[in-house]
Amino acid sequence: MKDALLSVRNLRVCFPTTYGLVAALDGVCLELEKEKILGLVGETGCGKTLTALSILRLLPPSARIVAGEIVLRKRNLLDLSESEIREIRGKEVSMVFQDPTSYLDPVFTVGEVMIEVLESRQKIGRREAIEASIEMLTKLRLPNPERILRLYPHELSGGMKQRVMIAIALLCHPELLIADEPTTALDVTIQAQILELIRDIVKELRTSVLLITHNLGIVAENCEEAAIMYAGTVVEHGEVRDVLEKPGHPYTRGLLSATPKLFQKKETLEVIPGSIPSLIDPPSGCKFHPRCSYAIGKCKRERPSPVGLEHGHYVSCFRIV
Amino acid sequence: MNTGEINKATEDRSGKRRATSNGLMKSWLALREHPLTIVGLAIVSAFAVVGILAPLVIPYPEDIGSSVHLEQSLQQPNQEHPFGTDDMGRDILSRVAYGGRFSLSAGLLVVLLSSILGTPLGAIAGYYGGKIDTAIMGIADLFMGTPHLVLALAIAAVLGPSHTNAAIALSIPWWPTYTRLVRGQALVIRSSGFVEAAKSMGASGKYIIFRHILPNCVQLIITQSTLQMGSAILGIASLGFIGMGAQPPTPEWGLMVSLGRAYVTSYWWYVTFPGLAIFIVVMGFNFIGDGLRDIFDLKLR
Amino acid sequence: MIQVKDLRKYFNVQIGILRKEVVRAVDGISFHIERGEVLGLVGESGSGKTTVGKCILRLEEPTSGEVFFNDISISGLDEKRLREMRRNMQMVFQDPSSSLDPRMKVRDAVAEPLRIHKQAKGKELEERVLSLLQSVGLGHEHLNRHPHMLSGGQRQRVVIARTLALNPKLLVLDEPTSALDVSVQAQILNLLRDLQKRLDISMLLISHDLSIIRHLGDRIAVMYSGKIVELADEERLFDNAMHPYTQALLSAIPTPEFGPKKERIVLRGEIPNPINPPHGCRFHPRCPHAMQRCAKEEPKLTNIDNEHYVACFLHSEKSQAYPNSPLCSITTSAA
Repeated sequence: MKDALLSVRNLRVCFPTTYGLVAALDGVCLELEKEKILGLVGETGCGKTLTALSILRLLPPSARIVAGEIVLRKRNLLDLSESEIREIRGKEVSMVFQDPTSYLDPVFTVGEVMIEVLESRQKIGRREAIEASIEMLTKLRLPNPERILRLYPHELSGGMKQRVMIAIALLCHPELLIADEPTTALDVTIQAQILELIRDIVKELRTSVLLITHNLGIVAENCEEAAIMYAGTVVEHGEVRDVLEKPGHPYTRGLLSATPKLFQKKETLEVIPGSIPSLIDPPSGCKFHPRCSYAIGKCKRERPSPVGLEHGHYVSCFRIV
Repeated sequence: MNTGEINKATEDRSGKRRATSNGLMKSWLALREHPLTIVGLAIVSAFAVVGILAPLVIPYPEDIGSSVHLEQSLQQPNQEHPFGTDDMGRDILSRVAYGGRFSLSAGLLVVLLSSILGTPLGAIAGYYGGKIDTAIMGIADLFMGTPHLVLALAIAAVLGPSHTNAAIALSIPWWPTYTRLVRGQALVIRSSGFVEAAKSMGASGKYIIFRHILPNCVQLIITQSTLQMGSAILGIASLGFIGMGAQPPTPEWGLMVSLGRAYVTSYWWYVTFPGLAIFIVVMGFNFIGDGLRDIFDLKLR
Repeated sequence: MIQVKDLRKYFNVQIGILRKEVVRAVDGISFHIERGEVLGLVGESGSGKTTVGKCILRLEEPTSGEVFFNDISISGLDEKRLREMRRNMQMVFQDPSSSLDPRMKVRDAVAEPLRIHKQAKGKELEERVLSLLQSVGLGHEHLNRHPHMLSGGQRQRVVIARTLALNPKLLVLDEPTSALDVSVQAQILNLLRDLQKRLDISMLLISHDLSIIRHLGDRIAVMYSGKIVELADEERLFDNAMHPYTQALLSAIPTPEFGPKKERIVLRGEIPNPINPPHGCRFHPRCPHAMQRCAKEEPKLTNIDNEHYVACFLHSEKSQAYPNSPLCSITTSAA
């Protein structure tokens, strides 16, 4: 098999609601190779953020992991105790979130946060912690890092805050960085800066990245592999150029046609009819079948399993064209 | 199936689910998660029903007035008089049951008067801001700075002691509560997208207040009123206790507690049962009010 | 049809107890929109694009400058006439959820403009509301629903139906699809395109996303820090973007297209502070081609090539300033 750093196998996560148990993740399968950037793409409600939170076991208390495994270098993270998984968070696996403002405590300076992380996780002294922090801030191309250590979050711009978040996440040189929509709240030109930065740093630190986004363009330009999610499952998975230039799944194809292109003007955008299914009463068989123009009887009755196309390109569909 | 039909089919399925699961169904589901609210509702309904049906239901209807049976006075709770009798020999159970009318109706009056006075002022202050806001809130602060019962007492004294006057007197120190609440909400709504949209359509201030601000305050006002009922009933009872509310022989709870004071050491039932009634009803309203707040939140989701 | 002349909007902000600062959100903008044309206004945060939209409708009062609708100055109108004028211009805001009163049913929301202007009552009102809903792809089953019972895309359709109620001549759309998923966005963009063609409405489409502006726009204006830096036909802009900021913007927008090789231009630095914008050309601190002159003088928006306007010293050697813009003093007097 490939040199997989992270393997998610058949993950099922449910939530109890007034209508009964609802499956938010319904058999998610993912593979992330060492030192690669994997883009996890999907629209609202497809379960991409939940998948990320499951890896670090940061799910809300009402969520129940009903089945599946999350294997990080031979260890199933779902089997670990609370204290064991806490060891992993921030050290081997780190996460960066969408809105840096809500994830940085306004009462602590940047330096206070970074030093605390280093002192507690790496068990090094204060002076070394300060040096390591400055080094990381420099890597993130923040001007005047000594000064930044003394600033509070509200004194930084959006782009700078996000860089600080990324710096904090990378302080302990984790093997896996999970970035959940890291640039969605930022302006386009700043977004380009940050994404370029992430690409360069992870290459230098040899970190693998799980990049979660709803934007196919971001995946195309920054990721080596792509996984497309729909209604709690992964419908297509493979190298970026394969998935986006030769999409096998009708949903992927639909998403691509629905995205307005910068370099060609089309008269009308092709639209995926209907809307995202409710999780409470999901469609039977293949979850996409009610909206799919290729659907046949079988699609309504059975769930398709991943079928291999060329090297490493998998599609969960009975009607691969 | 063409595109249009597929669209309608899938969108409607989720929409219909949202539609049917709205309204009563959601309220019921929300209520189920708030048992205390159900208890509160039960208590208040019980008192209300009993109060309304009182003359038909109570064992000694003549005792609610000024009948005198001195030979039965101050009897301990027994089979014929489960709550005992008072110094005039009147059945306390009947009087407590009937007394519910006064407390509940007075509470309702207080809440109605103060909300009718306070709400529009709050909407105007919040929406227009500036000098109007400062003026209205300045006056409101004056009222809020004065201890409520003291002010109510003074007003009741001027109006003359009676049950209705006590209710009117109590509503005066309380209108600022609604004003403050509604003003806060108006400030929030004033900067919301749909108000901006209405303005862009050419809506006037009056229109926005009536069509957007006030309807969005209804839930807040209802919750506040329910909680206020408890305080209102206590206030009425307090005024009655001092003698500024209903006058003897009216079986108003506060008055009964006041009269019973003299006998509290040896004849505990005289004070206890009306007192308990006050306590239970006020608690009932508080349970309802607390739960309503949560339920309204859920309904909107 | 719509003419904007030297529009400026400054906000006063309180910083600390004694300090008051001025935010120059829009600092001298001039443009026009023809009948039936879609003008795209693109920029990032701090560019002032949303403020421009609001100033046109006088939802914000401009600090100076004028806005003309069919040669009538909107800036001078009193309350009553302004309210009537509002029937001609409507706005679609960014977040469909906050644009709809959560307590109003769809039928009341769509009827609202008709009610405010007393345009119809009773049965006639009902019929108009239904036909408006149908023109945006909804039906009578949606009439009695509340906004929280609708999906994001449906809500935005209701908002669009509402804005069409008074048959406006101009529609200002501020990020109409950024809160929506890709597949829903495509539906709304198609709807807007369809309505625009059918009803011959002019549109001012404000967005940070050049790809949706490309899809709908006829001409495009690029804003940076309160000023227009480039203005051209859609095709010209994409084939031959001249301002360095436009070029950087085009390069920065991520797109799942592998064909044409985009030159990767990554800008250094941050978006300028609107309280204290850089001297001279506001873009010069981040510009890869900045010259000495750029730090001292502000370039004017000039017509470089057949209605392709750029505000940049790299190109300004060619003549002819943008007509009606008071920023063009030298060349018109020479002509």
